[in-house]
Amino acid sequence: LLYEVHDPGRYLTPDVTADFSRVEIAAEAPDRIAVSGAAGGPRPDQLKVTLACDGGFLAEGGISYAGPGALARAELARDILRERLGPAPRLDLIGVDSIHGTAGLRTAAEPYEARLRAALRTATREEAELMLWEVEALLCCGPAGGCGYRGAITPSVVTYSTTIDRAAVEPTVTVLVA
Amino acid sequence: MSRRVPLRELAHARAGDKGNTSNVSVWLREPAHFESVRRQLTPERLRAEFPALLRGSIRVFPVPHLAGLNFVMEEALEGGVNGSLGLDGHGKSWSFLILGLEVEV
Repeated sequence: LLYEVHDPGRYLTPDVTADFSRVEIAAEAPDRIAVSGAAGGPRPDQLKVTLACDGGFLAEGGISYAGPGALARAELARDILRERLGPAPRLDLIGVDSIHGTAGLRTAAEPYEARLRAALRTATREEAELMLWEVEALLCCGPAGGCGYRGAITPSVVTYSTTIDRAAVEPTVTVLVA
Repeated sequence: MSRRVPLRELAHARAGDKGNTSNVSVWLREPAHFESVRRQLTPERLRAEFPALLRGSIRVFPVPHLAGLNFVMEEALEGGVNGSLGLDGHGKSWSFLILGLEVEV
């Protein structure tokens, strides 16, 4: 009901300011519910806009460690990349701290395996390749038993959100066929 | 006698994103738990739990008749789906970040 909704009483769409705050959900029969009470107000004068801009290149690379001391070896590999690449890349240990690590939450127990993941957004493909070379080089020049290197460079788009006066918009549709 | 339990025992949740803003709606399975959880799960509590991650304003929109709480957290996605270097740029797993918090019942 509230997926990607902020104020349930004021969800902006182009056609209506929707009000989900009084929605009622009732069980009518097995596997059947009744939803009622959705309301709305006048359409907003401002339309939501997503601006897409060239975000350069996104480089992502990873290398895994398993067995005794896997976590310590993965952490050493992370320290090596940090020293050689500086503060710019994001360096995560998948299975340990890659998802909620910024929130201070990480795996408490010693994992059997860990994967170091490096990610970097760059203006040039050369900078992206440099990071991937550093990750791949850990196979031969890093902690023992590094395996499963993968790396990829993808063009990236970054987006920004804003609003625009409805009156300034003249809708047209253009279909591009590749 | 009260006890502390992970919120997951009492509720389910769903995370959504708009840019760098995360919203997590939390739905109590038992309406009887709603008021108590509402009092414990304040924006101040969330900010205190995860200060490095939740960097902007935090608002909560209660939906009492459905036993729901909608948390709207700005500057909470490390840049968001197209800006974050993390794997979860949408913050889809932020629902379980919240469900992992302990509450007293």
